[in-house]
Amino acid sequence: MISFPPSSAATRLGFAALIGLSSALPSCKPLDEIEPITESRELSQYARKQLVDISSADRFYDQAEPAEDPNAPQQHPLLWVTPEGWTEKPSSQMRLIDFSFGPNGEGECYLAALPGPAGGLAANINRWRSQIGAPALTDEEIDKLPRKNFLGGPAHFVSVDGSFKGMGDEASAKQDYRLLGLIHQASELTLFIKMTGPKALVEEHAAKFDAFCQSVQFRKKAEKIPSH
Amino acid sequence: MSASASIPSRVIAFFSSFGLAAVVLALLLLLTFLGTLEQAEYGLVASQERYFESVFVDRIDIGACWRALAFDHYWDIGNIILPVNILPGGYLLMAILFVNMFLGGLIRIRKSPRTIGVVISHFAILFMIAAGAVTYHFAKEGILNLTEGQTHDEFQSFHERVIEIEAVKPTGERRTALVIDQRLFTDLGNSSDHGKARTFTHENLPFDLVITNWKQHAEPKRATDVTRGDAVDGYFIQALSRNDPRTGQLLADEALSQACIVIAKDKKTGAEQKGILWEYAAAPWTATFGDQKYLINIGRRSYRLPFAIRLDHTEQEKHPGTERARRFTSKVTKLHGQREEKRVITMNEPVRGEGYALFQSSFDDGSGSSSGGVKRSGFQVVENPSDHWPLISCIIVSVGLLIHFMMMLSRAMKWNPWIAVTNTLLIVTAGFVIAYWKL
Repeated sequence: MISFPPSSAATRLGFAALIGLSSALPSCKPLDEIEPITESRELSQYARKQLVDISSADRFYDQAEPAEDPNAPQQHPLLWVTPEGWTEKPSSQMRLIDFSFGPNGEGECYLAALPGPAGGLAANINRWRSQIGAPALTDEEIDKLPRKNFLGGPAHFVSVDGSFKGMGDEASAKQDYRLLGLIHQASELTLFIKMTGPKALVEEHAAKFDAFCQSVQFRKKAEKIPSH
Repeated sequence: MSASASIPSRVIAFFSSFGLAAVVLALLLLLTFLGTLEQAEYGLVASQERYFESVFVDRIDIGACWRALAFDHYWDIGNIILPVNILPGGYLLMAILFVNMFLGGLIRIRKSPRTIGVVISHFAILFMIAAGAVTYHFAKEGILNLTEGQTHDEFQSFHERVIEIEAVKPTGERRTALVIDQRLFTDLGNSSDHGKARTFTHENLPFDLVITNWKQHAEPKRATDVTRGDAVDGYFIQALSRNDPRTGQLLADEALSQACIVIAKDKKTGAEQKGILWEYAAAPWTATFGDQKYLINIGRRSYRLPFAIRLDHTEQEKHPGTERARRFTSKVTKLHGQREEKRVITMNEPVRGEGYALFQSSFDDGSGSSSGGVKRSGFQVVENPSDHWPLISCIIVSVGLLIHFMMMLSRAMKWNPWIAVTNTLLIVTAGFVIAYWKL
C-alpha cells in the first residue's frame, strides 16, 4: 500500500513544485510592439463573395436618416436635366416638375404622378385625345401606339394634333396645337409627362422633350447589400 | 518509509500519496460546486473557463453562489467577490490527479492477482483524463448554418474570434486571408485607457494594421456629436452590458459582439485609414492602397471540413395537436469533389465521417418575419480525436471493477479466482459482441 507522506519537507517541496507550475501561465503580450502576422488560411469556394467599399451606415444596418435640418431645402424625389431654353416653374402637388417654353411661355411640359393605375392606360390616353379634339382609340389601337424608354421601361407615347381645350370648353380651344405625352405605369403609381403648345413650337422642342424624358430618374438611395 | 529516504523518493511519495489524491478530489468537488453555482449568473462558458479550464481560479463570486442557492431569500449578502489566486483550477488539479494516479495507481501499487482489477481501473481513469486533455487542446467545435439548397464546407467556432485581412481579387481567383488570433488583441480592451494599441505587420501587406479600443461586447453608434474624439466615419463604439436586460444574467459568449478600431498605416508614406470592425457588421471594412483594396473583418474563426455539405431538405415533426417541435430532420448531401453521398441528420443521430460529427443543432422553418420563408438548419460540428475515448475508458473501468469484484467474491466463496474471472470476461465479451451485432 501507499503510505502518506510523513515528511513536512517533502510536502513543502511538493507544494513548491505546484507553485512553480504557475510560472508556466501564459502572459499577456506587451503593448505597443510590432507583432508579425504568422497565420493565414485559404477561403472556401463557397465563402460569401467579397463586398467592397460598403458604407459604414450599411455595414452597421443604420437605416436612420441623418437628422433633418429644418432650414435645409427638401430634396425632390426625382432628378432630371432641364432642357436649354425651358423655364422651370415651382412644382405643385399635381405637377412634380413643371416647365414653360416658347417666346411667350405658351408651350408647357409637366410631369405628374398618380397612385395606382390612375384609371387605366386607355382612359388616360383618350382623356388626352379628347382635350385636343381627337376621337378615342380602341384598345387594339392603343396597343399599337409606339413606346419610348422611360425610367428603364417602355412607356406609351402619344402624339396628337388638334384644337387644344385642355380642361376648358370648346370655345376656349387653342387652334393648331400639338400634344406629346408619355404614360408610364409602375407597380404603385402612374407617371405622366405631357407637353402641349402651338404645333410648330412643339415640333421645334420635340427633341428636348425626348431628352428631358430620358433624363428623369429617381433619386438614388443607398445601395442595398446583396444577400447571401 | 525510512527517515533517510532521498528527496526524489520523497517527492514521488508525495505525488503518489492518498493524501494528495484526497485533497485534489476534494478541491475538484469544490470547483464543481462553485462553478456550477456561478454558472447561473455567469453562463456556461465563463464558468467553465474560470473553474475547469484554468490553472488557478482568479476570483470567486460568493454573492453569485449565494444567490444561486436561493439563500438571498433569507439573507441578501450582496456582491462579495473573493480575489482568490491560490485556489488551483481544474486544469492544474487534473494534471496533478493524472500524475498521482499514474505514480500511485500504476507504478507504486502492489501488483498481484488480487489487485489486477484495480490496476485496470486506474489505467482506464488515466485514459479518461488523457481524453479530456486531448479534447481541451485539440478538439474543434462550431456551427454550420445552411439554408435549403445551400452548400458550404466551413464551420465557425462558437467562441474563438479572429481578425482577417483579405486582398480583393477578381472573381474566380483563389482567395486567402491573413489571420490574427484573438489572444493577440483582447488584452487591448481590459482598461478604460482607449489608447492601448498593438501593431500587426506582414511582408505581403503594403500597410501595418494597428488594433485599438477593443471591446468584448459592443455595437457601433452614430456619432451625433461631431466633436467626439473616438468617432470614425461618423460612428463610435458603444460598449454594451454583458448582462441580459431581461434576466440580468450574463450573456453567453456566443451572444457577444466584439468590436474594435483598426488603423491601416501605409508602410511607405505613413498615411492612415481608420475603420471600425464589428462582429455583426454586414460587410468587412475596406482599406484602399493604390489600386488594391483590402477587406478587414472581425468574426468567428473558420474551420475547413474535408467535404462539403449541401442542405437538400428540412423536415419538422411536431407533437400532435401542438406547435411544439418533436423532431428536426435534415436531408443533406456530402460532397467529395464529384462524388455525392446522401445522408440524413436528425436529433441525436449525427452524421459521422473523416473525424467529424455533424449534429442537428437548430432549425428554422422559415415562418418567422425575418426568415422570408427560407428554411434553415444549424449543424453543430465537432472534430474531436478523442471522441470515443471516454466510452472506451468507461468500458475498461467496468471490466476492471468487475474483475476486482470477482476476485473478492471467489476469495470469499473459495472459488478458483482465475476460472471465475475468465468466465466473467467471456460473458462480458459475449454480451458486447451480441450488443454490437444487434445494434
